[in-house]
Amino acid sequence: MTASSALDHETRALLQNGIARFSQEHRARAGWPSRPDAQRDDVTAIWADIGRNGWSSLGLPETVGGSGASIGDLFPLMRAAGEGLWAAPLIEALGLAGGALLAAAPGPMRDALLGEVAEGTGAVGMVSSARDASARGFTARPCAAGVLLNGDTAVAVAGQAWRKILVPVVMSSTEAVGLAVLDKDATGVAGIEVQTIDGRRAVRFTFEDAPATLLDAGEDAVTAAWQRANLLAAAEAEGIARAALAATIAYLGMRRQFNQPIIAFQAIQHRLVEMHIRACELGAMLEAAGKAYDAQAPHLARLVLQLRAQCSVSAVWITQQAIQLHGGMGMTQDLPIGGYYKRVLFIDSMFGSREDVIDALSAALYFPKAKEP
Amino acid sequence: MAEVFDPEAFRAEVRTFCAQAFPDDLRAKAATYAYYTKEDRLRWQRILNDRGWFAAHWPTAYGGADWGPLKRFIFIEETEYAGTPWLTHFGVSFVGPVIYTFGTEAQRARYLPDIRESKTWWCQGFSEPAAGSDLAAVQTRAVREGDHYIVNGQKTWTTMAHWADMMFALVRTSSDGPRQGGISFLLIDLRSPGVSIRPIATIDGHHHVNDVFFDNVRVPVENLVGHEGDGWRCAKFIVSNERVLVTELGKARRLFEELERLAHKRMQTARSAASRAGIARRLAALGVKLESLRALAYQAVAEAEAARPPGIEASILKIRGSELQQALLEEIVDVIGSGGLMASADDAPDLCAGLVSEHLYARATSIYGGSNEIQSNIIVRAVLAP
Repeated sequence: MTASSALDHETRALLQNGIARFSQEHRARAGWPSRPDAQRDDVTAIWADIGRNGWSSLGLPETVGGSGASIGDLFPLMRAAGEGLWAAPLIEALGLAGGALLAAAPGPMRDALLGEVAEGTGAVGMVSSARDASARGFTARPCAAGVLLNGDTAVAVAGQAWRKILVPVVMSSTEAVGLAVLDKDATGVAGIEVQTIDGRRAVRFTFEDAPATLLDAGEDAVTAAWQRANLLAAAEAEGIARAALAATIAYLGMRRQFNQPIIAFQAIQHRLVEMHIRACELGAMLEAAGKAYDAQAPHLARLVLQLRAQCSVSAVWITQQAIQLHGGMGMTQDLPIGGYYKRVLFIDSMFGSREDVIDALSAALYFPKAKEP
Repeated sequence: MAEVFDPEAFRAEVRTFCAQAFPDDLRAKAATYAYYTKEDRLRWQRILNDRGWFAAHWPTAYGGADWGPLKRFIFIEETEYAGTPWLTHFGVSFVGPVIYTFGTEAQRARYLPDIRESKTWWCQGFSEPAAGSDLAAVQTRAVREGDHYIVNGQKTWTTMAHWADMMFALVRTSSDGPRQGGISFLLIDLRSPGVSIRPIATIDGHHHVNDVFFDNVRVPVENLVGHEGDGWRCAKFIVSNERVLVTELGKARRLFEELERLAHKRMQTARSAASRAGIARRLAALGVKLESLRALAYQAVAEAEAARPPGIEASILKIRGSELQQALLEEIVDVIGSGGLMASADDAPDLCAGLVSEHLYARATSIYGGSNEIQSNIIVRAVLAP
C-alpha cells in the first residue's frame, strides 16, 4: 500500500520512531480539547522541532545534506500529522521552499538555501500571492542590486519563524516568471500576524519595493513547489480523513438510539462505506501521484491537479459526514471532529479554490483543443 | 518466469496487436458501439487464442501462459479500450479456473481445451427469481438418483444462455444446516431434455439475458465440481480470482475519449462561452473520477500481483467502475442531445444509437454481479471489523 521508498530499512525505522515519539509528545503538549492559548505556542520552536527530527532534510538529496527520501517516504509522516492534528507546519517546512529550490538550477546561492532548508532551523519559507493562486501576484523590477518586489502574500503559516522568504515573481519588463529571495527583515517588508481557522499562527506579508535577489529559476520551480506541497497536503488530508472515519465508526458503535447502536442502521453503514471508498480513492491517487512525482512523469502536472480535486471530493466530504454522523457532538469543541474539518478546509484553500483547480484542468485539457481548426 | 516483465512494453504490444489483428468489419461495429453477434465474438476469441492470449492467465499445465494479475489486467484493459468484443468470461475467466482448481482430471480434460478454443459457450446459472441479491436462497434443486442428479427449477437473468452449450449452476443439494452449505456447483449441458430457454427483453433493445427452466433434467454425477456443498466456495473463488475484472477500466477510458470527441464537437456549436466552459469543467470532473478509478485498480492489481489475500477491493472497484460508466454515458447522452435520443442525429445516427443503447444497458452495471447495495454490505463488514 506504500509508494516506492528510497530509504533503507534502518532509516525508515528511525522515521517511524520519530513519528511515534513526536505524536506522543505533541498529544501530551497540546492535548485535546485544544488549549485556548495553543496559538501562542512558539512557532520558531515548533519549526526547529521539525528540523531536530531530521524531517526537513529527509526528502532532500544527499548532496545538500539530505537523506534522499522519495516523496512517498514522507507520506506516513504527513498522515500521522493529519491523524494527530499536529500544529507543526510540515507542508511549509518540507514542501514549498524545498520543492522550488530542488527545481532551481544549482548554484552557490541555491545550494546554500537548500542547505538551510535541510537544517530546518526555520530559515526559509515560501509565499504565494493573495491575489492569484497561480502565484502571478508579485511583480519584480530590476534595480542596481537585484530586483524590487511588490505585492501581498496569502497567509504564510509559521511565517514568524522565517528569516528568508522565497517569492514567485513576474518580471515587470519581460513578464517572465522567476523566483526571488529576500530577507524577512529587509526594508519594504511588512507583516501582519493572523490566525488561521485551524488555529495556526501565520503572517500576511506585504512587499513594497522590497529589495530581493533573483535565483536561476523560472516557472518550473514555482510549479514544482506547488506540486510538492500539494502532495504533502493530500497525504495530511488522507490522514485526517481516515482518523475522522475511525472516530466516527467508534462513536456510532457506542451511541445508542431506538434501543440499538446507531451503527446498526443500514443507511448509516452505507454512508460509512462511501466515506471509506473516498478515503481509499484519495490514498490511491496520492500513491499514483507520488510515483509520478519521483519519476517526474509527463502526466505529473495533470495528476497533481486531479489529486487536488480528489482531496476536496474525499477529505472535505468525509469530515463533513463525520460531523453529521456525530450529530450535535460533532459541532462541539470538545471533540477533534471539528478540528479535522477546519484543518481540511484550510488545506483545501491552500493552493487555489476548487473552482480554480477544475478551471485549470479543463483549460489545460480542453481549450487548447478547442482552438484547433 | 525469471524474465522481467515490462508493463508498458506489453501494453504497447497489445495495442499494436489490436490495431493489426482486430478485423475491419468488427472495428466498424466497435466504432458505432454496435452489438456483436455470437460469431463476431467467437472469431475474435479465436484470434486471441491463436496469439496465445485468450487463456494466457491459466497455468501452463492447462494450456495457459501463467500470466500474473498485472499482465492480465493490462491485456483486458487494452482490449476493452480498443473496443473489441467483451471476452465471454463465463468460460475462460469463471468456470475454467474453477475446473482446474477444484475439478477432477476427467473434468479438466473434457472441458478446458474447448473453453480455450471457444468451442464451448458457457453461461452462468446463479440468479433465480427468488435469489437475486440473496444468492444463498437458490432453490433450483438437484436430487441424486443413481448416477444422475435430477434438476428442477429456474435460473434467470442468464446472460447469453441462448448462445450457450453449457451452464455452470449453483443448485441446492441439501436443505439442512446453513443455506450456503447446501449449495453445489454443477455443470449442466443445456441441450439436455427438459431444459428450456426464454428470452428476456431489456430496455436497450438487445437480447442479452434469459430465463432458463429445468424440468427433470438429468445431469451425470461426474458433472459435480468438488463435493456436494462446495458451490458457495466455488462462487466466492470466482469473485476473488477475478477481483479486478469488474473495473472495466479500458471501457471507461474508451467512453471518456468518446465523450471528449463528442463534447469537443458540441463546444464548437455551443451558444455561449459559459456553456463551453461548463462542458469542459464537467469533463474535467469526470477525468478526476477516471483517474481515481485507475489508481484504485492498479493498487488492487499490485495487491493481487503480490499474492496478498483479496480484501474488499473487488467491491470497491465494482461500485466505482459501474458509477463511472453510468456517469460517462449520462454525459454522453446529454452531449448528443435530443437528436441522438431519437437515434437520428444528422451526422452520426449509428454512433448515437449505439451510445444510447450503451447508456441504457449501463444502468445494469450497478445491478448485475451483486448490486452496488450488496457490495456496500460486503464493504461494511470489512470496514467495521475490529
